[in-house]
Amino acid sequence: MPQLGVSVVEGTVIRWLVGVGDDVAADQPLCEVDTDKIVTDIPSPAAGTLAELLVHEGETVEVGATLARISKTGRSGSHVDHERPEFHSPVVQRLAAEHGVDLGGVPGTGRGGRISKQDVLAAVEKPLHTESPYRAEAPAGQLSRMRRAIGAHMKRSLETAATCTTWMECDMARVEQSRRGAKASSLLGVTPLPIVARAAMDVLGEHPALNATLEGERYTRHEAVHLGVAVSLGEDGLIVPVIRDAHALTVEELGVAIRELAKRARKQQLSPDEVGGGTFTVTNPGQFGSLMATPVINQPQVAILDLEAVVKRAIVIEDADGNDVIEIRPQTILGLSWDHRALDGAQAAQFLGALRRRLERWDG
Amino acid sequence: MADAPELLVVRLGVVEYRTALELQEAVRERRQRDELPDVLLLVEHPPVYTQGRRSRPEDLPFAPAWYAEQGIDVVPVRRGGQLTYHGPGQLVGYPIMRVDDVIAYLRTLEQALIAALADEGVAARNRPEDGIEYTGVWIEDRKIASIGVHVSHHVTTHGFAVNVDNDMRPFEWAIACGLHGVQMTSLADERGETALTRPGGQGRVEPLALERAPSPALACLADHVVARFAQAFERTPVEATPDALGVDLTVAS
Repeated sequence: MPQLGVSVVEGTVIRWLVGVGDDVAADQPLCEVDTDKIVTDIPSPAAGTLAELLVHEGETVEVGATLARISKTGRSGSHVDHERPEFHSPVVQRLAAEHGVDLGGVPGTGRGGRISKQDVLAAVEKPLHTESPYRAEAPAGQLSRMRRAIGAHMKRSLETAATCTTWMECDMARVEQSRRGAKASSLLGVTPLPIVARAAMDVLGEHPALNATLEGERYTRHEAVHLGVAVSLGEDGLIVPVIRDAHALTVEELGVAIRELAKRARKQQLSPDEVGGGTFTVTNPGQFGSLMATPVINQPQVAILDLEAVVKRAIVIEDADGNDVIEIRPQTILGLSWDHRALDGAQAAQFLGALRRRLERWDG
Repeated sequence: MADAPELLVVRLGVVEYRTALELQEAVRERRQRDELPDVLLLVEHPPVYTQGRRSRPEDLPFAPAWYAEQGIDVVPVRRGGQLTYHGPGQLVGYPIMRVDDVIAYLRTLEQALIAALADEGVAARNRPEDGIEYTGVWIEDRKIASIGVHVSHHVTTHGFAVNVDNDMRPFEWAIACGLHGVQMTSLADERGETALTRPGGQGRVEPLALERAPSPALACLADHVVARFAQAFERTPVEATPDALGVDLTVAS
């Protein structure tokens, strides 16, 4: 494949315009190659008969790779193979000429034994005719567009916000008791997320500084809570659908909304108004057993609540008589990442403290 | 410049994407046979997502029916690059030119657009050092113009799209999970005139305007683009009607 420019290192053959056995003229387009911004056809370096295609449609090759072999003698006679000259890419030919390398003695490591740019360079560095230690590395995978988008979004958040994370332990006995209740269990699913979300809605009403967005120097507090819920799509990535007016929903309604949004997110059925306009976000790595994960703020929001796994711990509590006793209690850690540009640690701790009290006294 | 080769400039107004594609291919054939000089077609498209060779299904993360409801067409095309959007208020240019060095062509095209934006008082840049995937024109790290080309028998099709005052929301609808890998911008956004580019309130979906009154800002930029394009490629621009292309296609203009 010929060099298209210094920054182009590979291209994908998207269509062969000629087939094996076809007669081709010099400069006749042989195939179309796609780089990120350009689709271009590759002209034949010589006239002859197309003897062999070395790259399939859809295959990505590096600059310098041999794409096809052209026989100058045509297809007649049994000497075709014998007399068939090998055509190397212009880059390989140029490199070979520059370094005085005889291509006949260079082992090709590309597909079909073709000689790549690297093979020529390896031959320059090493004596010829020795076994090349060079082995083609497995082609590097490319990040999916979603992964790159998530990466850019996360980096931008970390570069934009002064991110701090505050942690608080929380006794989940009352929440667990509520979840075990026959009425609630079928609606609430397998995690305490809907209850924690409901409690967070109440606490945000008392701490409106956290239900806010900060864009540049424009800080806006929002009356309604449009709650973003991080949904894992497995290897594909992550999406944060938004439950609009979440402050007005009951625990059961939040549970249903979270489940429905997650289901539709995984089926790629969301609409844009369901992923935009959030004012506060909750993430639940606890569902996978996580004990502490520092969440990244979902810009331009100023805080994200993190729910961790609920685990049984032996902890010291005060009994009714005022004695310290050790009990086995379900505990979790509540985390809050917040933007120090918009608020201070005291507000974050007050919010988490209020949330903790509400959960420890939960009566649903 | 009097001796410079001609560049036929044809302003077609609003043209359906699929129609413009057929037109480009017809003009390319004539250019390949040297029956035409180099040509620059300037158009606007009704709302459409075009999927380049590297588009993935996840580039349109929402339900297909939802895009149809918005009145946005989806067209797969044989050009490089990923998914992009065209719509009313965006200046689209299709240079159909004979080129030898496609990378030099891309860079000259970028420089022409940068000069035209400078005429508008906007300081833009290209990013050759960042790699081929950053082809296009940027204002800081925001992308204002996209470029994708197809070269066949040394003749280019496809081209560039500059956001002038088009509704910018479809760019957000086309990127997975509401996250923005690349932030898109427009001339109007850069000037703080967001009434047309971001209609409606935060998170609300106002209907997408499928047709719009001709934009004076777009006509003004088109003049600058023609002048700077001709200058950068050392051509003499000659304004012409569609008839001058000599292709047998009905173009709604």
